[in-house]
Parts: sequence; C-alpha cells; structure tokens
Amino acid sequence: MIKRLSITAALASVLLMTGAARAEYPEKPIEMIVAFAPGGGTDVAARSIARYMEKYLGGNARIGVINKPGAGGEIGWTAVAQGKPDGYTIGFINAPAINALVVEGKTKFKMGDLQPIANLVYDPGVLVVPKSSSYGSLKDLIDAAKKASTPLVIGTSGASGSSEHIALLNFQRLADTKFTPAFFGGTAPVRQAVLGGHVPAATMNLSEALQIAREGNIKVIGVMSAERSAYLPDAPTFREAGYDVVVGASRGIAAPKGVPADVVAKLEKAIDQALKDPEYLDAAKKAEIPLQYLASNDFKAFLDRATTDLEATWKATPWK
Amino acid sequence: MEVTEEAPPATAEGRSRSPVEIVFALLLVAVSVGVIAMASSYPVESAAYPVAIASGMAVLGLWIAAREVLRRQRGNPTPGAFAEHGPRLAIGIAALVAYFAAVSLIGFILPSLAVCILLPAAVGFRRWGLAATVGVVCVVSILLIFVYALGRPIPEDLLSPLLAKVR
Amino acid sequence: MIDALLHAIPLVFAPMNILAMFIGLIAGLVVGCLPGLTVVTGLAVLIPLTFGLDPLFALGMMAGMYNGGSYGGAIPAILMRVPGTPASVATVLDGYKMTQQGKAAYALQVALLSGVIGSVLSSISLILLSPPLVSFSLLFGPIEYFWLGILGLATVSSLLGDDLPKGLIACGIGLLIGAVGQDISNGTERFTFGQLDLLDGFSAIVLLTGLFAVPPVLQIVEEAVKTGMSGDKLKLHRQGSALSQWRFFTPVWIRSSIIGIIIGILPGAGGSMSSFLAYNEAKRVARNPETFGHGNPEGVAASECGNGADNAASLIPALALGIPGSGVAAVILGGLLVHGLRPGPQLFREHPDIVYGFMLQFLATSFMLALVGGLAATRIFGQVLRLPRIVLAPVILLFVTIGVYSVNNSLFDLWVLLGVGLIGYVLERLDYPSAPIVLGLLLGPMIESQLRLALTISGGNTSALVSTPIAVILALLSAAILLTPAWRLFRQRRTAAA
Repeated sequence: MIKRLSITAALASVLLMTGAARAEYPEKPIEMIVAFAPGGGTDVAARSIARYMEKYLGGNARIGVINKPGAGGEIGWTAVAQGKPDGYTIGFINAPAINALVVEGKTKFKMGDLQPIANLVYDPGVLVVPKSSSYGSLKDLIDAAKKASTPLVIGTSGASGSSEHIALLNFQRLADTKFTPAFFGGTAPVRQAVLGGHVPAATMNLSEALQIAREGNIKVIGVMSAERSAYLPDAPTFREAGYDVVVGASRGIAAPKGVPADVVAKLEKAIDQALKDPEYLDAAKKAEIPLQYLASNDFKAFLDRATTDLEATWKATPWK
Repeated sequence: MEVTEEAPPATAEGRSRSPVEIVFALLLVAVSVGVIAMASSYPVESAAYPVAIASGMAVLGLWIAAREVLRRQRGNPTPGAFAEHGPRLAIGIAALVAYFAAVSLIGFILPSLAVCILLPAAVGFRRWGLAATVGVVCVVSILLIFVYALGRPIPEDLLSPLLAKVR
Repeated sequence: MIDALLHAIPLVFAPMNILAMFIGLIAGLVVGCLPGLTVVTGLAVLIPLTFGLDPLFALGMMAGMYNGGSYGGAIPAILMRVPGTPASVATVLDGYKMTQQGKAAYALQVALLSGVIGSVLSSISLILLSPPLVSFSLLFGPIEYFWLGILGLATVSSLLGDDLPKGLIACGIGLLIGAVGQDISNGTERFTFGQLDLLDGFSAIVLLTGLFAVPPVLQIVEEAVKTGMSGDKLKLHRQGSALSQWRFFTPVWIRSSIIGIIIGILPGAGGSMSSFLAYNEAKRVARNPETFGHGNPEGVAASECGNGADNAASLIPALALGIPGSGVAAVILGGLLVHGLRPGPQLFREHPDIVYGFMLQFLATSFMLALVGGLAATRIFGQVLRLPRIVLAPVILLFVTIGVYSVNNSLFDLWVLLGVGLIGYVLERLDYPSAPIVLGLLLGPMIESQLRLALTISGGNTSALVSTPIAVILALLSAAILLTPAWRLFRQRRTAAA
C-alpha cells in the first residue's frame, strides 16, 4: 500500500519537475512528529521552533507538526525511529524519558535507530518543599528521613519510571535512606499539592518551580544540575551537598537513522540559527525557557551517557 | 410537541427484545469474569479497583438476565423491538464497517465521497445530485479546515500526492 | 485594581484588539463545533503565530477562542447529537431531544444565553475574587479530590433512570473503561492486551463521540426519512425566548455557575466534569426530574452554564500561581509566557493593565458571543438540518471520523469509535442510560488515583481520609445526595399509604 503510494508520489514529482534538476532539500513539507498532545510543553516548543526553522531552511521549506501522543511518548518516538530516513520525517525526543523506555527493553526501537540532530532545551530537576516546611536543606531532609519510622513521602509529577522517579532512586541510594514516591502524573497537581502543604516534598522541573519559588511560596532545596541555574542562582545544587545527582528533562530533535549527512547538517544549522533568531530568543528569554543547544555529535554523546547511566540504575534498582 | 419528521415508534405488537436483553446481560457477565481473571495477575493495589467493579457488574448482569427469564416465563417479556427496521440496520452497520475499513486502506477522501452517495441510495434515496453535492462540500470543507487551516493530518490517502500539488 | 481596570479599558477596546477578539471568537466557534477539534488544538496552532505581536492582541484572540469554543461545542450537540467537545456531552441529553421536538432554535438560544451568563459570572469572579478563590483551591489535596470524585459519583444516583440495575451497570461500564491503561504508580499495564495505543487508556473524546454520535447515524439509516426539517423550525419566533424567562432560569444559572467556578479553580478536577455536575444538580433539585433527558431546557441551561463558568475560573490558579485549572488554561499559560507575562502575584503588580485587560477581554468576548453566537448557530450551522435526514447520516459520519482521527492521528482510534458506537447503539436500544457511563468514565480514574495517593501519603492510614474539614464536609454531602432519592421514595410511599 505504502509502496504504491510512494510510487505514485514519485511519478507525480517527476511529472511536476519536467526536466529540472533534482530540487534541493527540502523540496516538500517536512513532518515533525511530537510524541505528546497539542498544547503540551513539547508541542508548543515544537510549533514555535518550526516557524523559525522554516525561515532558515530557506526556499519554501515547510514543517508540519504532527502529534502522535500516547504511551508516555513511546508511540510518537517509535514513529520517528521507524520513519523513512529521507529527512522528511523528524521528531522531538525527550531524554531521559526515551532512554528509560529503551533500557526497560520493551520498545520496538533502540537508541541506535535514531539519528540525533540537535538538542534545544535542558530543564534540570529540582527538589522543593512547602514554604512552611522545617526542612531548609537537603541535609535536613535526609536527617528527617533517616529518623522517621516510615519512609518520607516525596511527590513527583511523573509516573513510575519517569526521570524524576529515577532521580529519586539514585538520590536515596547515594544518601543511604528511603523515600516513598507519590505519583501525581502531572505537574499541575503536584505543584498544587506542595503549595497547599499536602506533601512534605516534591520533585519537578526547574522551569515549573521558578515562579512560585521566586515568590517565596515554595523552597527549592536542591537543583539536579552540575552548576547553579542562572534563573535561580540562590538555589543550591545536589552536588554542593555532596550527592552526585544530575538529572533533567531535555528536548531535542532527531531523525530516523540513515538520513544523509548533508540533510543532518542542514537541519542542524537551521536549528542553531533559529535558536539565535532575535525574535525567538526574545520570546524564549521572556518565557525563561532553559535553552541549551547541542550539535548533532554532542547530542549523541549526551544521549549515550544517559543510556549508560540508566542501564546501571536499572541493574541496581529496577524502577518497574 | 410535534415529531412529524420522526418515523412512527416501531413497537410492533408481539415483538420483544427479550432474547437480546438476556444475551447482552450474559455478555456483560462474561466480560466481568474476564476482567477479574485478567486482573488476577496484577499486583493487589492495581487489581483491587477493577475487580471490585467487575464483581458488582457480574452480579447485576446475572440479575438482569434472570429477571428477563422470569418475565418470559410469566408471559410478559420486556416489550419493544430491538431494531426499528432490521434490514436497514444491517445495511447501516455494514456501511460503517466498510467505511472504516476503506479509510484505513485507501484514506479518507474517496471512501467519504462514496459513503455520502451510496449510503442514502442503499436505503432508497434517489436524489443523486444532492447527495453528491453534499459529499463534495463536506470533504472539501474538512480538507480546508483540518489540513490547510490547522495543519492536522488525515489518514494516509491515495490522493495525497494530488493534494500536495494543490497546495 | 480599579485604576488598573480603568486604565485597561481603552486598550481592550482599541479597534485592533476588538478585531483580535472577534477573530478568536469565530475561530473558537469553528474548532468547538467540530468533534475532535478542541480549543486546545486551536490555541496550540495560534500561539506561535502571536510571537512579536502586542500582548493584548494575542490575549484577546485567546480569550475569544476560549469563549467561542466552549459554546461552539453545544451547536452540533443540540442539532445532531454530536458532542463538539467533551464538555458538551451533558448538553446532548436534553438539547438533542429539544431539536427532535422542533425546538432547535430555542435550545440553541438557551445554550448560548446560559453559557454567556456562566462565562460572565466566571469572568467577574476572576476579576474580583481571585485571591480568596486561590487560597480555597490550595486546600484541596489528594484526600479532598478523592471525596470530590465520590461526591460527583454520588450525584449519579439521580441519573440512574427507572431501571436501577441497568443504571448501575452503565456506571460500572464507565468505571471499568476508565481503569484501562498503565497504572502510573507501578507501571502495571491493565487490560491493554499489549497494545501500545491503550497504554494511556482510551481517549475520552473518542469514547464520548462514539457513544453519542454513532448511534444516531444508525438510527437515521433505519428510519430512512427522505425529507429535511422545515426552515420554520429554525426560526426563533413562537418557540419562546430564554431572555424573557430569566426568572425561570435564574436559580439554575446561579447553582450551575457556582459549580462551574469551583470545579474550574481546582486543577485536579477535569474540565468536562463541571457541565455534568451542574446538570446532575439541576436534575436533583428539580420538581420534575423525570422530564430531564426528554427535552427539558433547564438541562441545557445547567450544562452550558456550568461549562461557561468553568472557563475564566480555570485561569484563576493559572494567573495567580501558574497552576492551570484545565488543559486550555495550560495552553493559555504558555501563551502568556512567550509574551514575558510570568504568572504569579508579581504579574498583577508588574503588568496590571495587561492582566486586567485580559480579564476584561474575557468579559467582552462573552458579550460578543451573545451577539454573534446565536446568529451563527441558527443561520449557518442550523441550516444543515434542512437537508434530508438520510443525507445527514454520512455528513455526521464524515466529520466524526476525521475529528476522532485527528485527536491522536491514529487509525486505532477509528476502530475504537466504531466499536464503542455499536455497543452504544445496543445499550441505547436496551434502555441502559448513557449518562452514568460518562460520569463513571470521567470520575473513576480521579477517584482511584487520588485515593491511592492519599493512602500513600498517609502511609496506609485510612483515618487520614476524614482528617480535614473539607474532606468531612464533602463526605457528608455525598451521603446526603445518595440518600435523597431514598428519602423521596420513602415519602412518596408514606403519602400513598396515607
């Protein structure tokens, strides 16, 4: 079926070009697969960057954002990995969620089936407590957890196996204590719960905690990044407290493996330029989106490291 | 309250839907038992909720089936026919299944035009021109709104290459 | 605040911004009335286009789209029994019956007016009552959400219909369907049959569309009526005017608006809940509850008013705390952020003209809707009903199919639509009520997950479930609602005996 379609398409395009040399990439609309529903964080990021990528890809480049939500992203990522490697199927991938799924071993694709193109956003995880909480630092929290008769409850915005859950598993191993994760399954409910004091502590991403923390409605007691965030310089990192927990949610663009190198280079360049576009940069700065551009090779190294780390964790403490 | 456009209620004398009642209730019981069986392999905290509901449904399903059997024995089965017009219902169901199968195979556009013309014709509507016009108007407006204005994709279509050119 | 409001008025009513609100409103009507397309989709497409535009222009479009979309869903719900949005499902119950009774134009007018009133009251509460409502919403944790879900489910007791076991089974079907999908707290895949498409459970839009929109297609084919509705039925005169009956509707409007606002400010409660809970409540307190579901305009009024009241209210926690009270509010929040408007108390300090301008835009678009919406519905959309009914069947089928497909871009969903539609047809013919299915579907997942969260947090201690005042109040209310029908029955029997 698909084959017949593509033959028709090929015929049509031959007829259309009538003698002209093979047009330069991109000669038809590019499909950008988003593994989450319209209106979500990844979707908005994709739709925003798509407009500027079109601008810098030149010609009449057009990018259509296609949502394939479901199964925590797995449906959309599978579609990217199994897409045709011609440069007309690209998609947003979210590390380390995608790595975690692969490490669990139930996906129909491997990380090697994807050709990383560029990373755009890196949003570190944070551990927060309500403003009235008696825990002022990670040390307070760990001391309390060690003394408590039942494990301390920490709310997370993800589900079991999410990057935040895995971060908690790593943290409790390093701190030699035990926490009970409470899965809220979304950021809005967990933020409400921690603001209202319904949970003693919670994990989320930095960008989600930024505003309420600045207003003093919650306290950020640990940031899971190598260095302090420029957006919230007062918040200490886990490393400063002696726990090597570096976890964050990233959003990047990948294509199916086997895409011609010149196409990868073209896309990579367009993303880089789009991220530097004054208009886009202005909007991103205002929205305090933690942009972090990684070129194809760096992005690949980043993804490989995430996979290796997760494999080690999976061996020690399987999260499912 | 005027319902002139509605067909007269088809509660034909002597017809009863009670066999369907019993079969469907027993089907619900079977599904509930199936749910309980499947849930038995889940961890307790995941299984408790569906098992509790399914158990309740199984009991209620048996109740409804038994009640209907008793009513039949007493000679007053639940009145009313299951279908208003059996043959046309069959046509309707067949058309739906064929339509969805066709959409998955050759895309949205051609099956949609076909169903707009053929489904009314199949039950005796003979104003072909009107049916065809409505079909074309619907398909075109759907393409305009979904594909062009909002950039939502349609199922993989036989006519996609053509559409790409029109753009 | 008064200063800021006065300062915002000229900005809001600048010609360009009025145009923006109008464009948003029309776009909202369109996405709202097409099943499968929601305001969220419309906004997701819109927001990237507003980069670099004046914030109030962009926000005006968003406000218009939100208000337009929430009414747009009622149009196909009333005219064709196709819920344009999940929130308009409760409107179907009485609205479509009214159309069958030849009162389509009146039903649309009731829906419009009620939606506008809910939306206006909600906008006013957004402007005036944000701070206290925010503190109220923070009192809700997992325990309180659990009881709120139970309260919602208890109202089902007034929707079960004449045949109690069938009503309960319908509710059970909804609850069970809600249990499909991956259990987020331990990753157990429940009833997914290894299907990736089912890992997140069934999509509510797909289920509701199948349940309500497919059976009428079959019914139309069965009836094979070859004439259409006469144009007279779409004219308002002699069908009554909802505006002149304001005394009659006011109690419903007030109750429904309060319910809509409360559900709206709670981030953990789904948006489509408010219309259903408002509908239930209207039916529960009505003198003639048996007329609900048979074309009672109060049913349409309650559902649409609750739905309209949810809108602006869901922005209260979004603007004040950055916590969206609904999916749409979440997208609007994203739209605010790209304009450098960071939610939180500082938003009100630093950009009062924009915040209050946005709130006024909500109010203004509600009134614009009142002017435009009714005409659009009867003069444009309503004319479709003049087609021969048998031609309408494929039309419904086409729009439902493409709408459902576009939710997840998945062919799997089309087969779910067909399966649910056929089952829905059987259920309907055997007099299983459909409202309890919807309620079970919407509330089941919330009740289960919040109960388990509450027990996780309390370390398995069940007494924690009644440890807060709100929890106790909600529990007592649930009990009272459950006992109302029993009490009525008891009284009837006694009067009958006497």
